[in-house]
Amino acid sequence: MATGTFTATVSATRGPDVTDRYFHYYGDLAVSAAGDTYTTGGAVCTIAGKKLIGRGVPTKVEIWDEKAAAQCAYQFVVGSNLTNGKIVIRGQQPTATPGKSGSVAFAEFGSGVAFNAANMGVSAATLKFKATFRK
Amino acid sequence: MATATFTPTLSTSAPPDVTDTYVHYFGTLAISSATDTYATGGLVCSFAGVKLDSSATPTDVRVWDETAGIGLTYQYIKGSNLTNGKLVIRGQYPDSGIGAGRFPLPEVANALALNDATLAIDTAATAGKLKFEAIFRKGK
Repeated sequence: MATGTFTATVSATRGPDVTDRYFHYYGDLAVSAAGDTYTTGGAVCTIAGKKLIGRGVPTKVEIWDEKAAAQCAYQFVVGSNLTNGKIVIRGQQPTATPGKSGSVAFAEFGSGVAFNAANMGVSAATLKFKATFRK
Repeated sequence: MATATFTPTLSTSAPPDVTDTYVHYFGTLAISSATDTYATGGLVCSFAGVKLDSSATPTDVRVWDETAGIGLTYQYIKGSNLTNGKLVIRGQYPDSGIGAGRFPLPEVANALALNDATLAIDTAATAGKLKFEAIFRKGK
């Protein structure tokens, strides 16, 4: 068991979309190991793929889970290069202290909790991504 | 302290994208003041001061937070022109007083200051990490 990471691999079969100024790459996200653990602030995500071209870091990365069960919210935090972006994972926390607003922010996955922890199912998710890079 | 507003600024590093029918603009959203307050129904987000090639209302505006610390959702509600669209902010309910079952995501309460420690709504915008993609039809 170690600190978990993600690898985003650009699909070899679903070609990138090319628009006027951007490449839009699609692919799959894999966790390092089901028993690896999450870190507050996000798990490091490396974007990899032989066909990856484009300028610098992505402008935007969207992540979604194609499985129906155990949905969490995934947020990509852009890093300074392709190897140090982070993925923040959130869920709801029904026992959180109510705020003045009557609502509270979504809670981040617990630090040190394994990706295969019961109820969250991150390691069982079918995670896909779309990464947008400047040409 | 007044009702808060959002002001978009186009990105200098992520220029607009042009597709067959649409132009996609990227940028960040700033808040009027961290101590200004939320208003039920959303906060006005005017694109009037942004140099856009289109004067029509956007087809779609997506807003996301790139800070790791805050978990809120943002929903843009189109207005009748560039100046009166609104941004609705939502969180989750704790279970206290809600009961069993499922329920929609609740809106931030009316008059809550954006820098209230409960939600710290101002954090992402102040850090320049509240980002948007505004999609406009060409030629409108």
